[in-house]
Amino acid sequence: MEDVRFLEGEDVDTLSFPVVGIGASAGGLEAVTSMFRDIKANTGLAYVLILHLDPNHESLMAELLSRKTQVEVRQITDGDPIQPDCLHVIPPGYSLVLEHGAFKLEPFEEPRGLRRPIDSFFASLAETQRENAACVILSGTGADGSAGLRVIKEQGGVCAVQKPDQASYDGMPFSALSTNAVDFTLAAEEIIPRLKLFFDGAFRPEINADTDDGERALQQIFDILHERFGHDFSGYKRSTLFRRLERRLQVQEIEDVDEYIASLTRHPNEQLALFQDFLINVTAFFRDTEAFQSLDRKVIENLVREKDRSDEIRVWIPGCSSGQEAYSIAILLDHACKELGRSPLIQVFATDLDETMIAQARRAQYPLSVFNEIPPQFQEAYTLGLDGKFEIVKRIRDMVRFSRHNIFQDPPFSKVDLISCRNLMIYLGEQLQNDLLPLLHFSLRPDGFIFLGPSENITRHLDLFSAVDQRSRIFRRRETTKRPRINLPLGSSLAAGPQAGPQKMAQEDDFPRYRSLDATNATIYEQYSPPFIRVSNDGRIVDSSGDLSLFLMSRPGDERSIYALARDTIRDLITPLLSEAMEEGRRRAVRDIEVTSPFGVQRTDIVVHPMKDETAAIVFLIKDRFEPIVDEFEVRPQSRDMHIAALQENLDATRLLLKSKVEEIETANEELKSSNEEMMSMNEELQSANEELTTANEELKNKIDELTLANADLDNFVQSSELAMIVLDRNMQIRHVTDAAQRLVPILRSDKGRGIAEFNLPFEGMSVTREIARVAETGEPFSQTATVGDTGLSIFVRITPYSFVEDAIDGVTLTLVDVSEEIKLRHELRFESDRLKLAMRAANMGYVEIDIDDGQEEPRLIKIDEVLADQIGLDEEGDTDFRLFLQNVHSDDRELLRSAIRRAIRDEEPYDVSFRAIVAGRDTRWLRAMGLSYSDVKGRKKVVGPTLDFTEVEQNEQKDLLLNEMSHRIKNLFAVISSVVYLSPKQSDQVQHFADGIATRVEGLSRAYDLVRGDPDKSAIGFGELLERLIKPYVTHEHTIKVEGEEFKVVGDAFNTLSLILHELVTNALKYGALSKPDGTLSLTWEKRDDGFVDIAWSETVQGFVPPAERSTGFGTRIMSIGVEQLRGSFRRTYSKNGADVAMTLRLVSEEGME
Amino acid sequence: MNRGASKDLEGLSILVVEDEAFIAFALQKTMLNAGAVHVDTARTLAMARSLVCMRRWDVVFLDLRLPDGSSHGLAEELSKMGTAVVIHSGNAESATMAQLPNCSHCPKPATVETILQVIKSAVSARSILSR
Repeated sequence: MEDVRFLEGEDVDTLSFPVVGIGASAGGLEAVTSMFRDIKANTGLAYVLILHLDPNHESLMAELLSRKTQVEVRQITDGDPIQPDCLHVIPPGYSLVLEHGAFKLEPFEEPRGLRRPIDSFFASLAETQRENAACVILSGTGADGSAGLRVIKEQGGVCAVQKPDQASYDGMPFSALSTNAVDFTLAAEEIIPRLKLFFDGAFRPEINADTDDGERALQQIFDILHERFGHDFSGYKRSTLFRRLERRLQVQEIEDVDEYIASLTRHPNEQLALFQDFLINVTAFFRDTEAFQSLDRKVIENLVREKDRSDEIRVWIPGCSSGQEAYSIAILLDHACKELGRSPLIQVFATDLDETMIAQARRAQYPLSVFNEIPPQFQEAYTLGLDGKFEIVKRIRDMVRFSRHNIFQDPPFSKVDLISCRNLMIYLGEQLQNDLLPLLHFSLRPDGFIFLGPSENITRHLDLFSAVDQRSRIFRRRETTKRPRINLPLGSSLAAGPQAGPQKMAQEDDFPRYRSLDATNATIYEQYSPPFIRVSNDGRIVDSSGDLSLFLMSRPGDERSIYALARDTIRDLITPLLSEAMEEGRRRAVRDIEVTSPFGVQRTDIVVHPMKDETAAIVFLIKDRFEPIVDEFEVRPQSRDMHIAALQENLDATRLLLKSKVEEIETANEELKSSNEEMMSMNEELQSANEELTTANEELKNKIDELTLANADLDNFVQSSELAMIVLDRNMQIRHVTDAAQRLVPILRSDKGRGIAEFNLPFEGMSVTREIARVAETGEPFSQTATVGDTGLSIFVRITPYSFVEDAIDGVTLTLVDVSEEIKLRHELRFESDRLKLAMRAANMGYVEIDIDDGQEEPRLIKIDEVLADQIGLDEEGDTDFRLFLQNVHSDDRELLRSAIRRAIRDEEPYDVSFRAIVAGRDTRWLRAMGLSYSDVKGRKKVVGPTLDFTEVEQNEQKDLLLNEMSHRIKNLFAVISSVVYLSPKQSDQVQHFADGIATRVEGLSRAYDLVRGDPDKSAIGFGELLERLIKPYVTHEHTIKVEGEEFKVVGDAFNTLSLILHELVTNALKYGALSKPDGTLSLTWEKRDDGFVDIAWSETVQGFVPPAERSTGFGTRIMSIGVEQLRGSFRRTYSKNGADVAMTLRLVSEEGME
Repeated sequence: MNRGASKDLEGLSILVVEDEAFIAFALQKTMLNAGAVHVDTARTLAMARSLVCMRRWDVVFLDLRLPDGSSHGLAEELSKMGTAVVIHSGNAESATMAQLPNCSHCPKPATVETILQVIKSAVSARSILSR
């Protein structure tokens, strides 16, 4: 309790820090959240949040709020101290009050529906904290808090209300605003900063009521209000007024009283606010139930009973405030009239100083929360339900006339039967209190009643009033000789301003003006005059005096007719007497009448005297002594003392009995009363359950929404995923089965709750039940593919532990996936793959795969298989450097292969290329690579294809080609020979010579053919070697042969022609030249030119050379010319004395051979 | 070879396309002896093509293998133009001949009679066709 400090000199309970009571109901969570969202934790205020909570549920309110504010939030437990900077939240099911700076939780006395925890807390808060209290009304339905608010205000506290248009439910804010006592109407988030400012020391005004300054200031204010409203508060209790004035200063944030007075002068609105604050009092329907019951029994019923149709009942309620009291009394009157079957004219005058209160009272609409103040028996007949409020019925409203009236300044009402002036005097100073009662006395008719508040009394004016029911404060006007001095208000408010209405009201007086007997005279008449009755002309008793018991019977009921009341003995006499007297207008009398009563006989003269006002006086003039009738009573004569003793004893016993009966009745009455109240509230209880449930709903709504959404998400997810899933709880019972699962296993949705062991799950080679148990035990997930016995489907079964909270295993989840298609596909794929491999192996085909990187023209690595590795002569399969691969490719084929691969990469063209593999120590292999580019499943581009070793095929083809070529050449040779033969000179006489010529030429050709017989590609033979081979056979050792020149390869095609040319030259040399004699010399030199031609110089030297006669026309020369032409050359032959010289230029080198 | 002065090729102009000079010379002489009015020889395909363009030939006597390529295409073109074409090739290059149905074939080597006979029938077949 360290935090709690008490102020000295005040009530011990008052805490040093302000306490803010917050009342909220439906929609409260949202409002409180926005109210506290931005509040710092150091405001110095203490907050208490009162809500309508469902008593049967734990409240999440404190938990929800603590997440949204910096201010500490606590749910209250009994006895908790109240602390600043803490939001104390009421727990469900209790009413909360403050007691000695601590919370006290009390079980609700009222049944649900009648509980008003906000009102009761506010009342308790007001009582303990007084001006250091604030109340806040937030969203909610109903009117809880509105009554408490007025108590807070009454005690000097401050009141704030959430703007109704911002509240989710505006019932409570509107109800609070209708009290006219609200200081601030703000948005929720603005409330606390405003209250903080209010409670800050800066605005704590210093008004000392005891000083002259204080009194002077107050008087100035009274003057302002008097000027404006015509009401003087000078006579009111100072303490209350000071407190309320201080409050206004704080609300206005004004520190100095003089400043406030200045402001007050300028602002009519503030004048009104202060005026209303000064006048705040609390009123209710049938306030103090017992007092009203007493009023009903002892006053109302009698009033109604006494009055006839033509009579009037006048009631005055000064200080009526919002009208509840006036309507309460009107209801009692109306009810009594109905009960008793009377219908007198009833006028209820209700007056107040405050116009706004009067306007509110006239509206006659009240929040439902106060509905219960009206006793149940009146509720249906006198109220009309509206939306969230109720209205007093028109008949009652018509009975009550509201007007503005100042009891101390305006003329009072008169001849009033009942004045209800409750809780007015408590606000008044002593002087005014003293003035008030005589005033009321003056207003009442004789025997009229006044009805005061429980703490008000008449002690100073016992001479004016006598108690009818002291406890209920009901008093009757006492007739007094000593007329009190009354300072009758003479309508001073006539000058007070526009509100001049009430005077007219007060002057209204339409009572029949019976002249009442002067009270002093009446006493004399009572004591010393003969008894008389004054009756109207229809026999109704108007007035009477003296003891009339001998002549009149007293009867219950409302009979006041002389004809009904007169005793039998005189009734017959009076009737004609009265009519005669009235008719004749003269006095009539009868004498010596013996009037018999149950107790005796009296001789009497009866005089009937007609009066001027149409009434008549019946005067009984008593003669002689009263003769009691004793005989019948004295059955057993006893002594007088004994008789008295017996009577006394009897009386005592009767009294005892009576007392106990009364007690019994009172007890029974109490019980009835409480059970009645209980019954009354039963209905209300149901209504309020709604209110509480709304709050509880709000708390849970968010959570439910989230859960619903999550659930829907989950459902949709499971359904849309077509997932076959079975969820088991910890007892291995089915909790959930999806539609997809029903198709795979024989479990239906309707099987929920059955144990999984009951089902024979048809998975071959797998005990699902056992695996489930294992997973549930160890928490290790399990998965396996199994075949379903009857359908042959392959199912992938996965079992995972189902954990709920904190990883505790709460069951398992079975997920089933139909993988039949996949399994089948996998088998097919494997078969296809195997088949392809076999085929390739059988065909001795290799396989190459080249990954293509973007922007790369040529691969760096290629992937080759075992077969291709063997084909190309590499040791290892797998990734292989492409350059290494190319090294083993025949140099002539490399470029071909590379460009084919490049095109495949660049243009995605298929390739089909053959190349030779050259590997050391092995024959050349012919390989063929085919393939194309494609994108694999991952989108990567590749070039792939098989390779084939076709060396044998290639070798066969080569052989064919060679044979073909050979055949062609031989045929060609034959054609040449045939041509040579054809061209040989036909005129030759010497067959032998002809034949020789042919033979040597064919021989030459044959030699040349020998040279080229082999491979056509190896046809290039050295020129020197050729010369030697062609010339040597004709040369003997005697000859000198000089062959000189740079060696070069002779193109194959030239062999035949060259051999024929040389043959001619050699033949000529043998015949006539250097070879014809032993010492001949032959020089053969040549020079190869750049253009493929060769300059050849043939030079012979021989002794005794004789040039041949045969010239260019000879057969030999023809052969030469054709041959040289064939070789696109030229030749020139010259003869000297030494021999023949031949200069030739021949094309002997192929274009490829040229450098 | 019969050297009798037969006039089998009376009035014909003939182009001999043959790379072997001796053979070309012998053929030219044979044809002139047989009455041909004009016999020219070409040793290469290029030369043959230019000669074909220069004038009209009654018969083109073609060796299939030439130093600068096969005369297969030329034979086809000429036969389409209506020129009688005789293919003079060694082995019966039956595959090639099958592709040239409108050309006659003269084996290599062949007797003068055979050569003349083939040319004659090629010309008459052509003239029948052109009529």
